Amino acid sequence: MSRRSLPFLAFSFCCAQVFAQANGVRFVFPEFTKVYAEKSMWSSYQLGMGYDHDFNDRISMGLDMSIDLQRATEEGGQSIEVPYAGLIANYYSGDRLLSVTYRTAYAFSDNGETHLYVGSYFGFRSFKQTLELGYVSDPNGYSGNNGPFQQQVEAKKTLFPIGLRLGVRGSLEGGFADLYTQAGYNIGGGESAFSQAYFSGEDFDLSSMSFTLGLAYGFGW
Amino acid sequence: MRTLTSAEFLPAAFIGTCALLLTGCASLLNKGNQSMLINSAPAGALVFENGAEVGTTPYTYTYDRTDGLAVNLELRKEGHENRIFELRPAKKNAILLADALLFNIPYYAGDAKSTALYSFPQKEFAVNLYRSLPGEVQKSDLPVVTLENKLPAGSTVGKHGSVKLTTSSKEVADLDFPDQLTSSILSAMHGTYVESRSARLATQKGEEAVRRAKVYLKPVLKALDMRLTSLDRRAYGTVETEMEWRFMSGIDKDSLLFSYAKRTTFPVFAEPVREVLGAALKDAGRQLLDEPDLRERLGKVFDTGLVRSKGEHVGLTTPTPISFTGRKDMLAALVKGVVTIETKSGHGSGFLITNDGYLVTNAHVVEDQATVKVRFEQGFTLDGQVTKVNRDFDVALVKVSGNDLPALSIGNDGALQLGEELFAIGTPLDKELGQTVTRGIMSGKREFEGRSYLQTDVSINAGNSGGPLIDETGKVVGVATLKIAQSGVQGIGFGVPISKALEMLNIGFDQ
Repeated sequence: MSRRSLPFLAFSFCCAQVFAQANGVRFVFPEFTKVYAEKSMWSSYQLGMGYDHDFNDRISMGLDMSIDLQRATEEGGQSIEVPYAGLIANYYSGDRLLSVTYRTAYAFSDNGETHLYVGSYFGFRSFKQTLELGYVSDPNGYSGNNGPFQQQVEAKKTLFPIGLRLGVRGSLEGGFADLYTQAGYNIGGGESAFSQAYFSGEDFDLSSMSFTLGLAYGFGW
Repeated sequence: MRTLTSAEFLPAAFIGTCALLLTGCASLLNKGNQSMLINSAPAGALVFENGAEVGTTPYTYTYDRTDGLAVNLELRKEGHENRIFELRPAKKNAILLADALLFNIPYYAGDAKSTALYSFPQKEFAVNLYRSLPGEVQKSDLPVVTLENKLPAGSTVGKHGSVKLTTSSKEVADLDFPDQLTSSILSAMHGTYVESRSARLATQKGEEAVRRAKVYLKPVLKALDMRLTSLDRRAYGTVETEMEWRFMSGIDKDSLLFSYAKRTTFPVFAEPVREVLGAALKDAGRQLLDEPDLRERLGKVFDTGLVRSKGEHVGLTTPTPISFTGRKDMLAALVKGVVTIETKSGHGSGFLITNDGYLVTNAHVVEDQATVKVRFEQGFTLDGQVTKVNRDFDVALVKVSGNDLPALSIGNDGALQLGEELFAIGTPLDKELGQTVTRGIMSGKREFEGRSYLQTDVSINAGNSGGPLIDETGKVVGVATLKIAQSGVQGIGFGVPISKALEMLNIGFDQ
């Protein structure tokens, strides 16, 4: 767990202790999130777990932590072509994403039963992308050297998503499910995580908008 | 499209959030009232909160809790039952929605502990107080048949908010389920001087209940006026009902004994909308029991019914007793006066009470038959005419032709002492076991539903019914009638005291 998530966790558990009513633990799978500006949200799917808490029959809070599964499911990473200075570099990309999200919900009916809810969320996403150079080609023939391209490049970026959440959830008591969608703004998004000039293309821009669709299952008491 | 940079977004977000936080504050948004005037009918009741007296009605209650939980108040007034009721404040859902959209920050900051998050949706609430009942009262058996709805189909029955309510509105859907409404009325009578139960006429069980009670109640809903508002899926307001409570004869069917036409007002406070009508009828049913003369009238009807069920007076000649010299030959002599009564569906027992052929048995032995076969210990069988039946006390009088028949002497059941020896003579299980003698003791005197019984551990089995219970002097003190037959229970049998059996058959002996 990232050390950055500790304040969120501490904050949430303190609130839960003060206003405790009903609690639950959830497992998030899958959760689709838009990461890159030029890619759809289906390109990144995550799993995670979280904590739910109902303050009363109307309002709730929760805290989720999830990780990106793309790296795990695509062995060797994705192949990306980077054209620059008359050359084309072929990089293998690997992404890692850790998300911690604090969320709230207002239930339009008693949250002790299946209900529609609306709420807000904010959190952070720790994004890390590693690019490993495969080869560099010259349209006029084999270049024989890597030109300006570095063999290995790593970029880290932290985004702060904030927005609204809409979903349908069952009662926390016993087993429950939650189907939800989130839409908002990614503070820190809208630009590439890389500083190198040859990575300034839109393919590397992180999305400034935050879209998520997810399904979670859990149990509560 | 140009996107905001972090430097541009953060200040804007900060200012926007601060503005929203202010508007999300419960204490700023709340315009509701947390006080309510509690009234009672009649007024002048003491108001208790958590056991402490806080005032007298009319009393202004102010909700000062921060958890939104309901408050239980109790009203006490001399001569009336204590009423405990729940005051449930409504949550300000708009504030909670604002809180959730603002990451719950206003909730943590103050709303969770703010009384302003809650309010009462009405300014006044009146509680109906019911008259208290005397402690030790004889309960009146009162079957209640299904409520009759006299509201014309599609007619207006009030308003819910600005919406007109008709008989087909979902708020009064229970009108389509009158049995459910009848259950509400029955629940109002629980624990009062009325032993009420649901009864369906035209069923064997229902007819039996009505016949035993001598009276039954038929509730008729004649008018309904609901004035409701709702908040947070709970209803507030009043319901006026006009009921005709018809007390019908359990003996002469469809004969009205007396009735009460009552209009009642039920104050609705935080009731689930669908339960309002049932609660209003429950209140109306309970207010009916406050009619000052109802208990007396029910008692009179029952007593009159019992007298009627006795039938005409039967004058009999005191028999010449069966002679025996002592305990040793007593039972051998007495079995001659005990008979087996055979019917189309089985058999029971009986015993002669006159030398000219009158014998007593149970009503459930002779069932509905006019004639039965009477088999004597000596081996001969005579035709018996069922001359009188009292099903309330489960006794019957049968007449066979004959003279100088061996009859049993009538004893004094009132003088029986606990532990005194009792004998039962009868024909248990099989007709071949005629005049079987069993022995036990007097275990107690019991009253069930206005009927008295002798309790004994004498072995009573199927076929024993109607046979005599005989005391140590050889006299009849009871009619063996029933036993508790269930796994793990032994030695609990009951007989009708002979004095009650003769009284309820209206039998008199000349001196």
